[in-house]
Amino acid sequence: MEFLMLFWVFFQIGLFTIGGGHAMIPLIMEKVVAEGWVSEEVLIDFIAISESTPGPFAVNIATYTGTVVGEAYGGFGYGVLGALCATFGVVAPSVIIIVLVVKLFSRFMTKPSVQEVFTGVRSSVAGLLLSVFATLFITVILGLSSVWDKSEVGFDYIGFIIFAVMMVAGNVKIKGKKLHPIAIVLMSALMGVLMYGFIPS
Amino acid sequence: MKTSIIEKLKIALRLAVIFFKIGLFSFGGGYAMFSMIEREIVEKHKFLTHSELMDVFAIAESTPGAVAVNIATFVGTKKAGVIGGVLATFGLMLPSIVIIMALSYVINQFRDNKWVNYLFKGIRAGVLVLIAKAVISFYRNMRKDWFDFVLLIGAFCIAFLTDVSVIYIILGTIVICIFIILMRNVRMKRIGATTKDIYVRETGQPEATDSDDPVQTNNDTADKEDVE
Repeated sequence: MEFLMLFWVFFQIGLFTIGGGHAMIPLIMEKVVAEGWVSEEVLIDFIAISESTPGPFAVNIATYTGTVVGEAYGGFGYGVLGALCATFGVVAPSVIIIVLVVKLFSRFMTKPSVQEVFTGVRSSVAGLLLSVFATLFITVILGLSSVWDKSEVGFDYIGFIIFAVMMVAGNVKIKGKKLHPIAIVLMSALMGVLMYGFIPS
Repeated sequence: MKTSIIEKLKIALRLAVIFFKIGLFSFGGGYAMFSMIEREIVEKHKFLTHSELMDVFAIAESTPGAVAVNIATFVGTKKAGVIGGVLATFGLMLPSIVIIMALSYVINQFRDNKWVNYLFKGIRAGVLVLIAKAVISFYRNMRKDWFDFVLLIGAFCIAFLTDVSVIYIILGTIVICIFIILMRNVRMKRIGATTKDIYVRETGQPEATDSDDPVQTNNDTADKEDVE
C-alpha cells in the first residue's frame, strides 16, 4: 500500500507541475509532509541534495523521497522499490501527456490561446513559490510551524546570517556568471559547520 | 515513410544513451539543461533543427511535469515512437536514480552525528537562498500584465494563509485564464473582429499557414519564450 501511495502521490505531483522542477516544490511540500513520510526540515535537505546532484530536480527529489520512505518501511531493498515507485510516478504523467501531444495535439499546444493559459499558470506558480519561501523562512529562521503558530519566536540568528550572506553572494556576478547552486549549498554547509559548531548560542 | 521496428529501436537506444549523458552531466534541472540538450540533439546528432527544438521547449514548458523529462519524451516519441519516448526518458532518469540512492544510503549512516547536523542546518539556510532565486527567476520570466500580478498575489495569499491544496490553486488559475480568454474573444467577435485579428493581436504576427507538420511551422510561439 505504501508503495502504491508513493506512486500515486508523485503521479499527482507530476501531473500538477507546470513550469519545470521548481514549480513542483509547493506541491511536494504539501503532499509529502501531509502523508507523514518526512518532516518539513528533512524535505528541505532533500531539496538541497536534489539541487546539487546531476539530473532533473524533479526526478532527484522523487527518487530521494522514495528511497527514504521505502527504507523506513523495511530496509535497503524496499528503498530501491520506493525510489522506483516515486520516480516512475513523477514521470508517468509527462510521458503519457507528451506522447499524446506528439501523436495528436502538437498543433493545439502551440496555439496562442493555449500558450496564454500556461503563461497565466506560471504567474500563479511564482506566487506559490513565494509562499513556499515565506513558509520555509518562518520554519527555518523563526522556528515557528506556520503563520498561525502563536508560540514564541525562536529566532535562529546564525541561520539568518548564512541566508543573508549567501543571498548577497548568490547574486553577485563573477565573470558574468552567478554562483552555481552547488556552490551555494556547499558554502552554506561549511558556514553551518563553522558557525553552529564554534559560536556559542 | 515508415521506418522499420529495428530501425526505430536503434534510434531509441541511441537517444537513450544521449539522454543518459545529459542526465549525468547536467546540474540544476530543466533550464540548466537547455544548452546541453541543444548541443547534443541539434549540433552533434542532428535529430532536430534548432527551430524544431525551440518548439519542443515551448511545449515541454507548458505541459505538466519536469521540463527535461518532457523534452526527452518528446524527442524520443517524435523520432522513434512510444518506445523511443520511454527509452529516452529512462536514459535521462537512470543516472539520477543511481546517484541519489547511493547518496541517501551514505547520508543515512551519518544522520545522528552532531557535525552532520550542523552541516544540514547550514544547508537549510542555503536552500532558502535557492528558493528565493527560483522565485526571482520565475518573476523575471513571467508576463507582467496587471492580471498576472492579481494571479501571483492571489495564489500567494491562498497558499500562504489557507490550507487550500496547490492542485486547486493551479486548476483555479487554468479555469480563470480560459474564462478570460473566452470573454475577450467573444468581445472581439462582437465588435466585428475576426479570429484572425484576435490571433494577430495575441501574437503580433500574421497567422501561420496550415501544414501537415505543425511543429515545424509554429516558430512564432517559440520565439516568445524566454529561454535561459
